[in-house]
Amino acid sequence: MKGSLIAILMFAAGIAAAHFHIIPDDITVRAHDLALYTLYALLALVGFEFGHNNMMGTLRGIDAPLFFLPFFSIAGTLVATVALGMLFGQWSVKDYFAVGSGMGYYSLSSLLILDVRGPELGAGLATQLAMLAFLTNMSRELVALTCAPMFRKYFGRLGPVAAAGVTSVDVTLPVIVKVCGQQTMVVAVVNGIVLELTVPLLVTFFCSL
Amino acid sequence: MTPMFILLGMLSIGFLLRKINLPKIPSWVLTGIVSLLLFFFGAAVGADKAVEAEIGHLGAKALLLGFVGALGSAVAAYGFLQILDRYRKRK
Repeated sequence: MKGSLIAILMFAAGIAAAHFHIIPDDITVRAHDLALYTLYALLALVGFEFGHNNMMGTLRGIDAPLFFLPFFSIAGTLVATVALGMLFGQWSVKDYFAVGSGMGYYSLSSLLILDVRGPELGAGLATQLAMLAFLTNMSRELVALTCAPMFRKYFGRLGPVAAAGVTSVDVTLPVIVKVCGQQTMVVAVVNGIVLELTVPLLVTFFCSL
Repeated sequence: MTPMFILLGMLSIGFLLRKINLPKIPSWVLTGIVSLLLFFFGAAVGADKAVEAEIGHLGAKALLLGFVGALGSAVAAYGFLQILDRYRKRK
């Protein structure tokens, strides 16, 4: 819980620092690049540690059925997203399916929705739906980063992996390894890669219904 | 693709150097770098005018949908592990 609170605070501090110009504008303008380089540094450390510390033993101990996780993850997300979406109203079931099937891939899912739903909804509504998909999937990445310890505690060692969706292969991988242990790394990477392949298929499919 | 190259590249280097006894990276270093990542991520969001403009009327809905989506996946993962454990016990 403490880990999640610190993570949320750091994220909020970043927003506040940029919004109120507490940090120099030079840094604000390059914040996205700085986040990317920090991510690269984290991935380098995590990758090196995994390779250095009994990598072969860890790989031999991996359970093959765990690779079915992405499909359970997709089902869980779709059911939950549509259930909440129906309470909100405004958009149809297929639109909430499309938003949910982004699985954290905020850039691609929003562009696909804008492209496929544009002709039917018109530019204005399609942009709104695309923006909803963008913010929803960005929020999912944030939730996966900040709430990983909580997901681990209540849902087991695969909870943070499933919650991360597509981002389990890169952005949230270091946090997953930290919270769940190095043995989760391969499952997390495979989970992210499989979901990365399914996102364009699912989003396009639901938008075309 | 760059994240994957970095991950696999450093993994390979770590594996090649596995016989050399190197000090383990302290946990607080990783925690610090994750905190920095979140700070810069927040700053990138705070600096994006397009996101800022939409957050007003879409933000809360999107945050809830994102949270519930992640939660749904985590619950499904828990269920999946339970099914797997029961299947193994029967075997």
